[in-house]
Amino acid sequence: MRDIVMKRPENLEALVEALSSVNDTTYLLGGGTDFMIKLRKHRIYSGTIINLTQIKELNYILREKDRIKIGAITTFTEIASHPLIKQYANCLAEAADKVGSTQIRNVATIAGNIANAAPCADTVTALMVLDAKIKIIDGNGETREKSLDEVIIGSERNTLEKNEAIIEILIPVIEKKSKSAFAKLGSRTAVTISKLNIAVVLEYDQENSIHQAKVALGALGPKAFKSDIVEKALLGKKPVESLLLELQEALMEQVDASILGRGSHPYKRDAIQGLADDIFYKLFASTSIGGEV
Amino acid sequence: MQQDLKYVGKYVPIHDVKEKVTGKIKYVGDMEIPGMLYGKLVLSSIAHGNIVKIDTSRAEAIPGVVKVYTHENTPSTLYNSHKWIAGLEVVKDERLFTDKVRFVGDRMAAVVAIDRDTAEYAATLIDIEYEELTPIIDPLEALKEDRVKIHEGSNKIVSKEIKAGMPEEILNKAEIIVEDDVTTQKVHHAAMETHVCLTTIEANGQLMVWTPCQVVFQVRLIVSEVLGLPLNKVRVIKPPMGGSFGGKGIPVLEPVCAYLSYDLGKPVKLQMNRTESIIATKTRNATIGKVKTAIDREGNILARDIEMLIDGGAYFTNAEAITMAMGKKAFRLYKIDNQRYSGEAVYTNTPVGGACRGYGSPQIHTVTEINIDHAAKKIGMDPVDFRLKNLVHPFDKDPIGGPDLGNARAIDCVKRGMEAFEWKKKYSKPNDTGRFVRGVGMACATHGNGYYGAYQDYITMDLRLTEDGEVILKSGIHDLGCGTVTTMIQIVAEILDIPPYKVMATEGDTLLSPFDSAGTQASRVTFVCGGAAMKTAELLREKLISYTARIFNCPEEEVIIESEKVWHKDHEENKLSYGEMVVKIQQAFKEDMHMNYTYQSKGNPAVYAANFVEVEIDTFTGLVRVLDVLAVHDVGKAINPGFVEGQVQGAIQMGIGFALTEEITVDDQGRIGSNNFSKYHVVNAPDMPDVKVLLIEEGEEHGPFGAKSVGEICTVPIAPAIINAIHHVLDIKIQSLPATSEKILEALRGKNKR
Amino acid sequence: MLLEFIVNGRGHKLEVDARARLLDVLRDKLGLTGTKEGCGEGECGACTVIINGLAINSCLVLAPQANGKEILTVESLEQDGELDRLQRAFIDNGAVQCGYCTPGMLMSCKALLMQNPNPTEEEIRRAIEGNLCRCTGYTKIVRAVKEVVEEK
Repeated sequence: MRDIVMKRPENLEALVEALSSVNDTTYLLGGGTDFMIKLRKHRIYSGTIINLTQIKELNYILREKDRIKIGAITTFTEIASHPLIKQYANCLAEAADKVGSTQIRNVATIAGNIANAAPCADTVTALMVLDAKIKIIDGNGETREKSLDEVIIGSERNTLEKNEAIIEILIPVIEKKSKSAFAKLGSRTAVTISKLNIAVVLEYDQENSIHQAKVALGALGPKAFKSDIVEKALLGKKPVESLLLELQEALMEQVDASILGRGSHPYKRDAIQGLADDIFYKLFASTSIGGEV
Repeated sequence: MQQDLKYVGKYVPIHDVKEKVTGKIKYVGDMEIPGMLYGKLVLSSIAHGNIVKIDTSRAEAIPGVVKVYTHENTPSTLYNSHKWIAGLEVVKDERLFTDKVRFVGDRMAAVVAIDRDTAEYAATLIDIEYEELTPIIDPLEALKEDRVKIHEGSNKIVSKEIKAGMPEEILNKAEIIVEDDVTTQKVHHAAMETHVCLTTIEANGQLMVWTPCQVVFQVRLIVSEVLGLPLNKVRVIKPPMGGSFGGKGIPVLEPVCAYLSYDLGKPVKLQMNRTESIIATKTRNATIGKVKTAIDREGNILARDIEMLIDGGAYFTNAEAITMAMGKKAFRLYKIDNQRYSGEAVYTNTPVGGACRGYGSPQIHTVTEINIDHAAKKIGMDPVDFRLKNLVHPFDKDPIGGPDLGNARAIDCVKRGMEAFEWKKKYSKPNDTGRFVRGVGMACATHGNGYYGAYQDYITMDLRLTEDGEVILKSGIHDLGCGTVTTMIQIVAEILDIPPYKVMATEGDTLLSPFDSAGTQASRVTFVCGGAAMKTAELLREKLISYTARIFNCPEEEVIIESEKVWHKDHEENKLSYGEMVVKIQQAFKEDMHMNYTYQSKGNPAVYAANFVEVEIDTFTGLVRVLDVLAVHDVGKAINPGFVEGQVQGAIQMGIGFALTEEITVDDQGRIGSNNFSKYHVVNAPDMPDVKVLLIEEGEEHGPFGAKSVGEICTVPIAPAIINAIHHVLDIKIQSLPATSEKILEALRGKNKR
Repeated sequence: MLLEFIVNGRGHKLEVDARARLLDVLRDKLGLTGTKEGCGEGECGACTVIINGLAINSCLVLAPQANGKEILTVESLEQDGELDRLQRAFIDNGAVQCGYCTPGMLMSCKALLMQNPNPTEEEIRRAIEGNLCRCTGYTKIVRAVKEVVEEK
């Protein structure tokens, strides 16, 4: 049977209504860059597509009190260049800037990247260290906030119910002296799927020691995760040259802990040193440490 | 002739460039015929097996589906689409739709429907029940006679040896022997236009085939063989083409699409998507190569032994031809009096091998040029000096009796290149330390100019001066995007002394084009077809002079012909345009100012190239970045230097992919991993260096204006040059292409252990 | 379902299948066959068109998503028989061989120049990072765009 219909809600109210009558063959559509491939690969010929991209009120980046809010259909191009993101969530700007190609970034949305839950999704790793919350709305019009770990539970697996949609991403603003960065490794410099990616947020104390470290890794398991091993290795340290070696060793230890025995282990164990070098340079090579993330 | 060229040696834009930049040009995928139906192939999902049952009923029940085709309702005629000319003996093992599955991608069925979506949808509803057989993926497994047979008879299908001198004896007692084992992978041509064909039946029973192809007469031959139609009932036309690189050289869709049209009596368009183009057309043959070279302390090559095992894939196609083509190259680059080449080809349950830019040459040169570097290193010699000592000289003979090498400028390529690249300085620079290390490498290659010495090589052209003084050139040429049409135009324009824009040249049409024996194959087009254009134009010019002399009633020597005008040398005031003279000749002698000429190629000289490359390797991640490339080419004479440069730059992109990133990966069950561009990585703009091109233009006796080939050789030396650079800077050995970051790090781990 | 949009300055109201791609609607319904399909997965850029000033892959956009948008295809570049400067630079620099990637390349470069009239070489290469070309090695394409930039 071939009978696909598309609903194009233009505001949240209409979205809620669309979500109130869903079934197993209802699909949410963001930018569509992944959905279109699935639609064809999985030979989806019937069902209902709810297109979110015409809900203009879901396209924004703004600061509200101590949180940065990103509307669900905001594209990577918008995120990568937005001053608020660069200032308060630099690793997210860097990650968004490295997704796909220019054409993809112009269309693909942040909510789509989350819902898609690919193990190598670049922005998910960044959102993880930013302690982002995901705001979800359901068919009854009720909203709730969830952590990334509550939403993404595995490779291409999320906990969203069929009648739920991501409508906003919330990122707490860090007021202390801090810094964040993102780095990835693929098989070429641009338009490449991450074989590994890393995002880091560091907060410093008065003595310029790292007093809080958040480190997440992507493409090293079914989903991006925070690495206790690496975070511990950075805690209390000062950003001096020798820290690079410690960071590399901690990352290798994390690779061992995550994928020892897998075919990709020897390569990733070595290559993560490059990623460490990249992120170290981004975090510490600039003239002054500190400032905001 | 070489002086004062007006149109040859200049950049003239490709003939259809305006249609291309405005998007108005119609490729086959853009063409529509009223009543046109759409075909969609169903490809096998397993690599090896028998078909228990194909159930087409669900597809047939879909409204809009016209008919479903399988092996049960289509001809069982066996053919080999590699056959390009009547009389060529070939192994025939392919049919329109297979009755046994031999690779993931084998043609199982086709749906024809009233629109594309319906055809695609119905194709998902065909149920095939297989009885699976063990797939043979590794060519070494295919050599074992006790394994399951892919076709009737042995899986080993070709075994050839070429020999000069007494290599075994010298190798047995040589003091220094350098050995290398290198495997190369299957690659996809990656022309941006996927395979496509449009066919219809005219009211008079003529079967029309529009296909972006390289040999219209080959398509006609295959279609006529499979459908059992007379040759003159099949008309194949080559429309604009979105790239080929050999990928559209061997007909794939044409006989299938033709049969669908023929059976239905309706126009049918059949287009592949990218995945289908990657797995179910043709690929560059993967190879397993072994080379052993005996040298002396002074750096002379004493003898060499090369063994190549060629993965033919699931069907025979050109397995034999490529085995030979590969081997012959080994005798024409260095002067090696004692050498043996042994080539074997096997069937495997993997995508089918076929023509691919270079035709075996990238494979064998990768193996041998890596080995040459190792040989130089073994005796502490600069690899450039080592090569200079052993490269062939102009007018050397082929030691196995092949065509003479002609004005072979291999040494010039290397010498000029090493100076321009500042090789000595860069090569001897101390190794970098730290994460990113840079280094240089180089390699050489040779290629041919057509089929002379191996197969029939001739083309007929028809050239006519029109009554308004312009020119029409009719011939069965094919522009793949390289500028073939414009190249022919420039040659004709130069001889007839008329601006190129006044010359109209048509492409292959089996009904209207005079015959051509081989199409766009074997790097023959500029050398052979260009030679034909030149000769035909010269004859027409002579004819024009001869008749003009009769009109002027004077000896031919007194006729001046220049810049579209003719006149008697003593009457410059009385110049007549070409058109005016054509009309006068028509009226006076009832003679048409045209020339029809069959030109036979007169030789098959070699072309040479040297590539110099600088790479930067990230020793932490294994990523290799190509920073700088200098490509030096012995082209005889560049008819259109802009085109030559463009060919070389594009070929370097293809060669970097071959060296570093491109591979059709096949797992042990025969499934294709890299079945789209998200996983099959061709080099994109951020990773592509600016390629500098240096041309050696020393002229070739039988080439038009001295020109010889460039289109295939230009993708050959870059891969070994890159690998040699990696070896030089990291002191590791890469033994299989592509040199992915995984392989580089693995080699570095190995080195750190030793 | 109904699709209302502006293509190359002209408004269109079309009835389209919800599963149709923008690429197919442009080609099949509007006859704008300059836009090509090379991979169907947003990896090759042959289908690049400009939507509301941004380059996008028309193979990855469902046609109804283009509702209310302004679209430019390669056919829009030539105005009143006059080629766009970018088109002329592609011709003069030999940036076109087989021509199949050309419309997408042109539209990616056009989108770049619309946003940034003075891009660096790195920015040019980034703008076409999602446009594959198998013929030219990109050298002459980059050169053509640089020429347009320098002439400004």
